[in-house]
Amino acid sequence: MPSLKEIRRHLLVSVSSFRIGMQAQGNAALVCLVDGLQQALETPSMGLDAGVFLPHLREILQAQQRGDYLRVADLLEFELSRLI
Amino acid sequence: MMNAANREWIDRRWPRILSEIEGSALPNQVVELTGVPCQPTLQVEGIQLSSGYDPSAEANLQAALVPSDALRATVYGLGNGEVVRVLLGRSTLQQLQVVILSRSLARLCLETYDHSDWLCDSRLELVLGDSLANHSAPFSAQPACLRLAEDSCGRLRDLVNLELATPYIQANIDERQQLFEQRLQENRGLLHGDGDVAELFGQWAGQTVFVAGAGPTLTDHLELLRASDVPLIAVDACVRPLLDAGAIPDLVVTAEIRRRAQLNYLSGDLSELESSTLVYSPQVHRDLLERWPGKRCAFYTAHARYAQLASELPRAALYCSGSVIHPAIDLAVQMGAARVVLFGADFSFPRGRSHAGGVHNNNQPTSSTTGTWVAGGHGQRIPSLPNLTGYLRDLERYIAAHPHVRFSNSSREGAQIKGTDDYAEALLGA
Repeated sequence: MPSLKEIRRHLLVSVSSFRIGMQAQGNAALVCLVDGLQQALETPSMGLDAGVFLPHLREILQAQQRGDYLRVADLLEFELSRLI
Repeated sequence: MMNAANREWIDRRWPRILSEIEGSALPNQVVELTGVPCQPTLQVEGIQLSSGYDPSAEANLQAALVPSDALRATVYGLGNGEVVRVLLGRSTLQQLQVVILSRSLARLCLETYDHSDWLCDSRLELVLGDSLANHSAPFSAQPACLRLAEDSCGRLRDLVNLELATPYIQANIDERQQLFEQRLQENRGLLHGDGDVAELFGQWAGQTVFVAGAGPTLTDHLELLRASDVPLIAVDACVRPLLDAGAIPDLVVTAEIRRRAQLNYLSGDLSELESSTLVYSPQVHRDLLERWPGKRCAFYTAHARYAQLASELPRAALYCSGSVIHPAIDLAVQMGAARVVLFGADFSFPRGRSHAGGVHNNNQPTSSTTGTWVAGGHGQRIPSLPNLTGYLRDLERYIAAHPHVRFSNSSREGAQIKGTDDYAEALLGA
């Protein structure tokens, strides 16, 4: 399972990539971020509350689906990051 | 109403562009996003134009794509003008080109934001994106402006996106290097005994050659391909639907590194292909090579990773830029084709499908993700993916570099391919 440090790294890569238009790189990092978060949320010892994360993840994936990458970057950088 | 100062500068310096912008309608679905802790920004058709938290930091990040010592640069998209300000703040910059990718979006931005502080800068050149044939470097791009590009700027948008994706694509290639080298080792024995694709060059000099891809529109032409005597080159993924229709390709091109996909494409009885030649990249799994009933010959690409192998075991190179349709088309050209007619080269999801009927495991209806689209042969927008649009634009560059060959596209239902001629005429000429 990736560490929180690795999860944060994927978050930062995703944010910077989306802001400069590097969608492929951003999406690849986002996949790693979401996968890592899912594993962390399923691990009680990590102390993360799924109920807090899931609404943000839902909104992030909805923005990603419509190609609203600056919104994705904002949600990752200013909403999700403070929870990790 | 456009900001008066903006209008005055554009009218003074680029009156034709002003006329074009003012003649366009504003975008649909414009929402101003406000509220603590956000910085106000606009959302257009569901797409946020800039950061709602720290647009200044975002602009600096975007501007950093342009080297600090660059004398000239380009910004794709108008947006809120922050990136332009950052770049014009560099005393070393001598010229900055700002490219408008959507007239309606530009009108909205010029009505919403005051850009007059930089519109007056003598280093600035404002251009409409559809007046440009290619992208320029170095550049910075506004992601939302790329996403909201108008139809006439679709090609330029794709070229910019392809350039932005190149580091990621290269990193992916580098990651597969170990698997690639393993395949080369596994296939060395077969390579020694198999032919060189160069042996085929020139064999169809002056002829029309059909090249079949696995896109959904291939299905519309299977009967034609079955009945025709025109030489046929097929990519691996479309072999099964061709065989099921009774169309036997003369050559099959494969460069698929994924073993499972490869074997799925060429599953079942291949005995009908005993007179067909497999033209393969040595990164293909040995299992497929050993299953092939007919003759085989190998090709490399111009990529540096073939250099050592080429020095020991020379083989001709075919053009490849991510899709097997590229070497298939280049093969036709190298074989001397005067005319290449494309079938199933859709680079998109016409009719909501990803592939032609009968392509193994890839025939599921699919919908667009992330809003990527290409213009179809009727001018319609067709959902696509960034990698497919990249393959399409690289093919267009290839076509432009081969003016001695006539390229035709057999269908208007898939992506419009620049440099290909009239569709119906291509079919009548078969």
